Amino acid sequence: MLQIDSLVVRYGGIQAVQGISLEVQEGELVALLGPNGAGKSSTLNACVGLVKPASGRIVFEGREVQGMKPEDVVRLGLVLTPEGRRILTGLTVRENLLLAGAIRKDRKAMLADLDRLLERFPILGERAGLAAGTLSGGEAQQLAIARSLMCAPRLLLLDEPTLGLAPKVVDQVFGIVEELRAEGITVLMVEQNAVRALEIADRAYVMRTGVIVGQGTAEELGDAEGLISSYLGAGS
Amino acid sequence: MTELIQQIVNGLSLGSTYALLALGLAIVFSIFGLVNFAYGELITIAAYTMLLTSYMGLPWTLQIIAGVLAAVVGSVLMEQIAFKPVRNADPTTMIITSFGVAIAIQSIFTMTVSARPRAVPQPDWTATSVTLGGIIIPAYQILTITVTVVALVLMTVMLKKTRIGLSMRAAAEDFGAARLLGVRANRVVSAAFALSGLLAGVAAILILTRTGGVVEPTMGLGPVLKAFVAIVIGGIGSLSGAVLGGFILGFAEVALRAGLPSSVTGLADGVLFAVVVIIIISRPEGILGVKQRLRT
Repeated sequence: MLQIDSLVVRYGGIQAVQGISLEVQEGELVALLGPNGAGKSSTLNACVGLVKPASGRIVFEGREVQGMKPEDVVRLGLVLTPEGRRILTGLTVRENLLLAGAIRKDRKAMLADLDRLLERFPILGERAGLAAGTLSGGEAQQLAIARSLMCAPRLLLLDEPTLGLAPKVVDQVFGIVEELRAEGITVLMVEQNAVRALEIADRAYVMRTGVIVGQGTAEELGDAEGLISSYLGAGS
Repeated sequence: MTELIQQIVNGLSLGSTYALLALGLAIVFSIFGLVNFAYGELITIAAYTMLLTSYMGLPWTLQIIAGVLAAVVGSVLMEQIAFKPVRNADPTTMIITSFGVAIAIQSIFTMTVSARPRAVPQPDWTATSVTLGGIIIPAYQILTITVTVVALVLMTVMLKKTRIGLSMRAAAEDFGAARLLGVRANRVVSAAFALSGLLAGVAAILILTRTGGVVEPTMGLGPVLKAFVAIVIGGIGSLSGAVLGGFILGFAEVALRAGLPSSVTGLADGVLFAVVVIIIISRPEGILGVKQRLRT
């Protein structure tokens, strides 16, 4: 469904992503793990057009998407829930969702989805008319995911969905991600909580300083200790 | 008492014009991050279009429609030709570009028409006035206040109730996040410039009814400076702040002109700009200014 081939992302003179290749099959839940600055977010941002790759190809369902505009990529069904959630705080909860749904051609189905999401995330239903800026971190993350779902994603890219959330809320978010997979939405998730991510992911890639240093299923990647040593690098 | 009410009406009228102007400047800033100093030239474009159509013998109603359309088209073209290439450049580059555009447009009118003022004949009724209990209200003031109220209401409805309004509010807050949700960058930017042009065009009509139709190449400079001052007072990036700032500026100007001894009324603008300097120093975010942009 998604193939990334020799992707290079540069910011000025710094090469954040140094020619990585990875793929995600339809129906999979794939985790992209690694320490801060490994180039995980840059990889996702390149997929949706937030950054222009220096070189390499990104193919989504047979179409090359590298260099496309974000507003065009999202219409293909390749949807990013960005790091830090980036909720539009001056809009109401409902407006955040409506804005995302505006790209859909079938408005009736979109509004039906909106109602369904407000039921599925009851807190959003309660706060539908309030400014999104009044939501707590966990609630905002639910809104961020619900907003992505309003875009009718075929492949959902989740960037650090649990960053900065309380442990109980982290459980809730992982629960939502598992539900999404069960519903048939393909997910590529960047996550700092490697252990938890591996519990629910089919496969994972491990990145460090812009390159992929490991990949496989949870068993293949080894236990948490093995992963941590891979994060920190040999000898540390 | 009548004197006070008279001055309040004057303040409302002048403030209305400033509010419209400031709103047009603020809407582009909130979405595009540019204080467009060529905004005044949109007024000039509207005014010269009215001059041209009056030479062609068109009635006033068609003149003002043509003028507003010209300002809208001029604003959108300005963005396409001059600002799009520097969209991702440094803010300083964008501001200098806007000065360049302003000078270029002024020069075009100087070369093709004249550096000297011309007059667009205004309908006779604009020079009449209504007397209400001892207060004299000129017709142009009634027009100005009415048009401003209608424009502000329509603008609020547009931003709150329409799809493009929603997209614009989203883009103003976080352009990147809005694009991730499918908001088309080019479309909202064009919409912002079109609205800005619309407001400049409407303001041009009101300015001409007040001045008796005087048109000259540098006529945009005064209004854009006043609009800039208004958005600084109200809080740069806040639309309601821009409107509030416009009214405060209008009232302050009227109060200074009425209150200062006649020998120093020429200093009124000087006093106003001094107040702005104090505001910038003591409260850089303005009265309604917030970190997030475009609160309606």
